[in-house]
Amino acid sequence: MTITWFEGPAGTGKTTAGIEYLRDKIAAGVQPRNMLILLPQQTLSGPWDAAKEALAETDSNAATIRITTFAELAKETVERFWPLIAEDAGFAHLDRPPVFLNLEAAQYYMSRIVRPLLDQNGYFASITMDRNRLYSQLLDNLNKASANGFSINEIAARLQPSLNDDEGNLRIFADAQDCALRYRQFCLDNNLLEFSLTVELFTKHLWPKALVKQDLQQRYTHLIFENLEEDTPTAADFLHDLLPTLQDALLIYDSNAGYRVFLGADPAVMLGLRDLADETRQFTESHTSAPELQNFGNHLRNRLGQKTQISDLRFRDHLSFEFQRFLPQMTDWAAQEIASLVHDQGVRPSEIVVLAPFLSDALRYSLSNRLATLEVPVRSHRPSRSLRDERATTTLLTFAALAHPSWENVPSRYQVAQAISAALTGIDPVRAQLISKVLYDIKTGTLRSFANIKPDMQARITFTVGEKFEHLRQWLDAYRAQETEMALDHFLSLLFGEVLSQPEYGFHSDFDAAQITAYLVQSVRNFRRTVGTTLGTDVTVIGREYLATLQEGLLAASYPVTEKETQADAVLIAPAYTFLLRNAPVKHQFWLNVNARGWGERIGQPVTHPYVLRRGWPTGKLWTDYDETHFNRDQLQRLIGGLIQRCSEHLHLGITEIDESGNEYQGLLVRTLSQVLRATMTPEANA
Amino acid sequence: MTELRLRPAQQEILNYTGGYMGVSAVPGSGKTFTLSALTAELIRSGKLGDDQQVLIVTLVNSAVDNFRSRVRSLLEHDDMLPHLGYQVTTLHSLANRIVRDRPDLCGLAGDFRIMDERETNALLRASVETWLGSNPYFSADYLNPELTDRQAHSVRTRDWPDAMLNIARNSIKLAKDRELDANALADLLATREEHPLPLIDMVSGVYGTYQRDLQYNNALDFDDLIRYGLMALNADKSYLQRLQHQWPYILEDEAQDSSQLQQDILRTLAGPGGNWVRVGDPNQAIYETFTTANPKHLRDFINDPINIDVPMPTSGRSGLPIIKTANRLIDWVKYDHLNPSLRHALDIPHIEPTAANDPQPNPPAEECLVHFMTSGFTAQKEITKVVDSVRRWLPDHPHETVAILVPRNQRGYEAVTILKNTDTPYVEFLQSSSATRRTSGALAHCLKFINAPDEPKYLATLWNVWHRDQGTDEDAKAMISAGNTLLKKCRFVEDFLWPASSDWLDQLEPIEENEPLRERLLDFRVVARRWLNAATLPIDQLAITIGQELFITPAELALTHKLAVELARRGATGTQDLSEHIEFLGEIAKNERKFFGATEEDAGFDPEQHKGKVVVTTMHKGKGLEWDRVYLLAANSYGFPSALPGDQFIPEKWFVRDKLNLDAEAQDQLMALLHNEDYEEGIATQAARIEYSAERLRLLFVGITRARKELIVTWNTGRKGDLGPAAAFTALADFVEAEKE
Repeated sequence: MTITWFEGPAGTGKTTAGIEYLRDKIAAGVQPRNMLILLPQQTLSGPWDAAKEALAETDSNAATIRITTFAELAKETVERFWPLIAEDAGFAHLDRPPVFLNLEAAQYYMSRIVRPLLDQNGYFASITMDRNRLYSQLLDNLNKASANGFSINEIAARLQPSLNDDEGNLRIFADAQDCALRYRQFCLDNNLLEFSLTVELFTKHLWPKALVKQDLQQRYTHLIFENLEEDTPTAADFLHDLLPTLQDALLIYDSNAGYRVFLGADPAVMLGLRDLADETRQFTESHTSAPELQNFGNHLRNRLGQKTQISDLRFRDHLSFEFQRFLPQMTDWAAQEIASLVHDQGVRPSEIVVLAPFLSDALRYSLSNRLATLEVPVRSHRPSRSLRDERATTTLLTFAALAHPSWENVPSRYQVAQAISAALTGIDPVRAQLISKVLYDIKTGTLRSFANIKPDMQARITFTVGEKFEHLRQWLDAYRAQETEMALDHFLSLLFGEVLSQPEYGFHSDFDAAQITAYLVQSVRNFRRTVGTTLGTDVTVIGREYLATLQEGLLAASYPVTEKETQADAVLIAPAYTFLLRNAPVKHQFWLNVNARGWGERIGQPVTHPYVLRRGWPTGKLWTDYDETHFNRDQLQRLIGGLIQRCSEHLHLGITEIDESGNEYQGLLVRTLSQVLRATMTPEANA
Repeated sequence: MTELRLRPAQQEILNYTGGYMGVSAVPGSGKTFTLSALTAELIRSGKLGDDQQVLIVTLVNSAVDNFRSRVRSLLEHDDMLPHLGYQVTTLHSLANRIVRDRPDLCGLAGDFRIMDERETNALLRASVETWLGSNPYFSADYLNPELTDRQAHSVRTRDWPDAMLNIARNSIKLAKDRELDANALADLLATREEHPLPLIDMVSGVYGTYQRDLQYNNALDFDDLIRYGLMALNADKSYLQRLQHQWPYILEDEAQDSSQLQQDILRTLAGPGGNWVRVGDPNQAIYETFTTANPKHLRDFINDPINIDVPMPTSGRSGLPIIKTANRLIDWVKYDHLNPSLRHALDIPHIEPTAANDPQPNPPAEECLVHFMTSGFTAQKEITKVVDSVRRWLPDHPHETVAILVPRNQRGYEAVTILKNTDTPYVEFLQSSSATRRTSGALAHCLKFINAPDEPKYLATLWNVWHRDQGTDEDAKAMISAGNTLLKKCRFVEDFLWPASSDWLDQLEPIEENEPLRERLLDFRVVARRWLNAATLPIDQLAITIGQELFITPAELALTHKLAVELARRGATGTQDLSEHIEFLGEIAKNERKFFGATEEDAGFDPEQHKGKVVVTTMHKGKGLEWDRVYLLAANSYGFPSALPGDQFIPEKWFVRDKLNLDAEAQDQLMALLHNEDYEEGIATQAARIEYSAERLRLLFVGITRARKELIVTWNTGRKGDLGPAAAFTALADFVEAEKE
């Protein structure tokens, strides 16, 4: 067998060479069904899916090439071999199948376990943070443990000695440890499997079993693993074991990436796999980035402590920057520049991307609006959108609340007006408000009959609208009169099918609304199925719980963005890391808020730590500001390197004195930028 | 860069090379200019590495803008980024930055928010009421025994909880300034069982609940910010070293208003053997009674023989008669004050006029006027007299500036009423009438309309809001007014916005005169419809949509953006009801809620922009500003007491026995607890009188030194007609009279 190692920065052709490798293997007779392609996340599968499709045009068997993630592989193995390990692993109900929790469900359960501890037992009393973030960080601890292969019992033991010896903080970590153990026990008691438990079951209980190994070896004889640096030490351990059993393997490593450190990725551990390689190939020449820009990037990275090759190659012509006091001025500038590129210089919109470390909805919306006004097509990259923000969702759930008085969740007049406005065609917001005012009894949460109001008010609302309203009202009344309530997802389906999708109603010609309805129904159904295992089958309880959880912000209830959206020829607005992980170079990059903290500093996480909970961190070593600065600088130089590798022509930098929160801040990137500009643009340097 | 012409003291400061330096700067001595020049000099000298900055720390955001623009103008720069070799910040912003840098050192997540006074007051009030409910007999120890039953009942229901809220707020502030958290306070109290401190018992009970409530809301108050800032610096040596490297020079302005904790933060940042320049005027310390500020810190710093001491006594602001009056006040207080306990209130240096060839010479003495109106008026008459005087003066001085300075906002509003009624051109600078309030107010009105689009009054207000920047000429004003009146009468708004059978606009007579209005209403209809249809958007997007159409200036748009982010945050985990967002914006608009970090909050007020109008403001807000003519009102024995028997003091409540100042007594109990000392009732009350009176004398000094050429001081006999002129007033009036002779 041969293990081949490809290494180099982004844009140097590693994926292209990897796809060629795949083609060569298939052409040489490797059975497609025996080919396993692993990626750190499914969204990186684009080029491999395309390659698979191309191969399938001549060989339909190519469709059996497996493209997946280590985590997904773990999950399906657990599902297949569940009876083998359920008892040993400590699950309470051996007769029931496992229930895999998505992230939302996992957070939901964490909130239910931790909330009483916060309210009644004074847990985490010495810290101040948003509760949803707390739940998320507690889950992070579990995920880091499984990603690095240590026991969840070690969480506090690892965090405490490394992070500030203040007494209050020690208590925090003890609380975090206790929450992790309680959560794990709850999962075991209810056959619930979230990410960390799934991975742990696979690595500790299944993979050591000869039967499981044999099964995997029989299925897959060849492996390609791309973007190794973005995966976890546990995946590295798995590879160590798997590789000797394969006929061939290709491992692809981006030498300056490692953007998923906060999710448990450990590039250094993955780099250790290079020692197993029989052949190594280095990729150095960039096909996606101008040499001048690379030089600029190298200057910045050099200042940040990374040894790079810098030269006298002048980069000023490939760089623009704009310094403004306020954010809207910067977005105005960016919009004007982009419009000029598109309309005056003929640059395709899809060759332009706008990036910021963290992209608030407000900034995204503000910039999109400006671009739309300038007739520049724009799209935002979001792996998913929240259903909660959709009008169709609020409409459906408002009617659901009206139909279920047992929930005791009485919508406001405004919500009812908005729902009526969306539900009925031919109605304007003012008349919708009139209906809400005159026909909605907020005390009882019921709608009154249009027939019972005064004629002059009927005339104001109009009889046409009144008739439609009356039909909707009667439908809701009839539902309320039933003896038993339906499950919420059934109710929503019925409401949509029998009323809202009918002619004269708001969802009839609105395909987006129909799609949102489908996603919402699915979200509710998933919630009912996973959470129902612990809440029971009482539909009232589940329906109320879903609504409350959605309103709390705990349940993001996301849905995926469509293919059509991702392929549009439009300017992309995205968070910087999301753009990096899409791995799609462009000609022009706009970096916004260059002064902001997010360029070069991680968000504070009081109850977890992405570096201390890493395999390579010596237990007991104190995490100091030096370490914080060092890792921040390292992450920033990786980010800069990765972005510039994906920029072929010009970099536009938007800098403001005042950030989005109204704070004045000069972040690491803008200070580094200032140093580089002053050093490289003196008269002497340019002579 | 143009060569600077400097006074000797300024040159000496610019020659600074390092160490701790204290600068006592008289009013108008050019300290902002000097500090800016020093900053530029340090940067040009090459003493800073390219990753280092001069840190300038000042009191308010308006000063930050001032410094920044001055330093920028003094430094050369090409088409590269503006120089990042310096950073100007307020103390609170600095603490905010430190805590956000390393929230982990303070047990915080990075997304904490800073709760404003209104919200914290609400939390405190709830805590106080809960505590009082559990301790119903607490007030018995302190209420005036001569209260009737009815009075006592009324006091217990209303005045007493308000007083306890005040005490809790100020004592908690002091506790935080002394780095005493709620648990530590409770622990200390437990050691004092034999020597009870009843007021601190109450404070301790409230403190614990209050802090838990803050935590629950993922919030800090402003005092926490300072406390946590110092905590973060002390918690990690390498972090402190990093900041010390980044800021090898610290220049502090308005140092007389520094509190213990604020001083500790800067001292920690400077480090022993570091470089720290503190500039201020102890004679202008006028915030003591509101805050934990204490001019003693700066005085001690300046008087420390180890530190460099460079006074800046020369001022070109005022004419000689005004300088002499101010200096006389210093001398009278220092040597002749009737109450020896107040002789520390003001101190040298005196203000010295400039040399003959100074680039900013004093206004010629012959153009100056100082007048103390010795006749006493009723409060109302006083204002009337002053307004009359202003009205006579304004037409003859269209290119000069004038201000009426009052001790309290309420007097200011009374003056504004009379000015309005007499059509006297004026500018009100009382509350923070900032862009934040106007922007929030405008957005709140728009959302109110969206929330209730069937209400004609909201439609009419929306019309006004839409025209907010357009009503400058008379024709425009008339049209806006006509449109407003018309829309208020639109009974059925749907007939205007979405007419079905009949269009409400058709009722307008189709005559030529109505055409501009009609056209405008048609445009308005399009906008109103668009905003109503945008109501389906998430709240942050809705705010931005409206803001982008409504506002023009970058500051307003930036504020809209910031408000949008905050509205989204509030909607993410709590309500998504529009009425709650409206309430939030309305509170900001009414100045009941501060919006921390808003960039143009308290933006610099420039008197030069208001020539030909009289500015009405408080003496506090007037600090740092100057006018050609200044009226100082209400210089009576109530506004400027001498801490003598018979004087009345606001903090001494009528319903409390023995005229105790419970606020001061509580703080004294706290300090006794902290230092493990005995507490004796009444001493703090007496001391508070002294401190309050001393601060009022400094306020008078500030008021006097706002005037460039002309100063008129008046007094009134108070509500009951039983007040006399302040002792300082009488002394200065005599002085001025003697000078004339």
